Amino acid sequence: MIRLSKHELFEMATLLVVANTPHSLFKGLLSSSAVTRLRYEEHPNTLLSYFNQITARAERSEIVMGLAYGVLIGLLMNSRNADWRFQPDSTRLTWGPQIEQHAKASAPPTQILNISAIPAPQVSTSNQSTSTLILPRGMQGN
Amino acid sequence: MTIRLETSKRTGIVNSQEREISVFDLNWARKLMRQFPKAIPRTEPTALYNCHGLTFASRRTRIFLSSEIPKILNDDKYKEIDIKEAKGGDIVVYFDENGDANHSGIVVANTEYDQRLILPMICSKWGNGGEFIHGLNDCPRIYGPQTKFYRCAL
Repeated sequence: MIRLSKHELFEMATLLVVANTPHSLFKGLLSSSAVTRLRYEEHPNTLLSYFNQITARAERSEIVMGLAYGVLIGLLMNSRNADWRFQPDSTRLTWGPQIEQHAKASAPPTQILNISAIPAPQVSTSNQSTSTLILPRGMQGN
Repeated sequence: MTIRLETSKRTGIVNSQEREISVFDLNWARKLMRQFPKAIPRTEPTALYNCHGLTFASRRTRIFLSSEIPKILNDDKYKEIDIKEAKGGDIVVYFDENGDANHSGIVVANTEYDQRLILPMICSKWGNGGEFIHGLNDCPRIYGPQTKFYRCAL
């Protein structure tokens, strides 16, 4: 069950109205408290079904659209959806494809890269000292 | 709906004319005036054009892809100028930390106080809201934080 306050819904709608580009909308929503909660507290499956539900509505007010974009970002940047197993149909929103592109470009890498050990270079040493060791005064032999 | 829009070198610019203004937009615009009391509202809210549409397309459409802005700046020979040199008619582009052009406007005046403080006044459009005459940084925080001034040298 997703619970967002009236203030959070209004904040998302305002960002939608004020944003001039998809990237600025993405950045603004990503830093909002609502999307932060959606990313870390909600399961991707819940977000996906919620996204499908709200984007299927005939009513498309700023509150609904702001929420839809917020849920889309919450899903794409969800801590439990790092491999994007839960893939929304972002084309349902005008700026959806661009938002998805930005989300995927800014998400942290999830692949583990195994770097094989690099063999240490062989260093040959000789017993013969090449430089004089200067000992501190107190340690010098008699 | 898209209109035919090109740079001076006839490169196409992606754009779209948007829907009618909603009740939410109108209410939000009224709230904006309270949030930014020093900004002078110039026009009523409209969704037909956005800030980049105002700056680069004579208010005819929305330029919503920030990747179009460097193309326009380059093709239309906009040269970057120092804030001190900016005069009425020059333009300002607001960039985020990643170089995304998230806002733009037209310089209407530039005043220097005591040879220390420079305060350019900008005419820009705030999303679906109206146009405002405002101080460089007296605008919604989603815009910027970096600003660059340009003069067209066509």
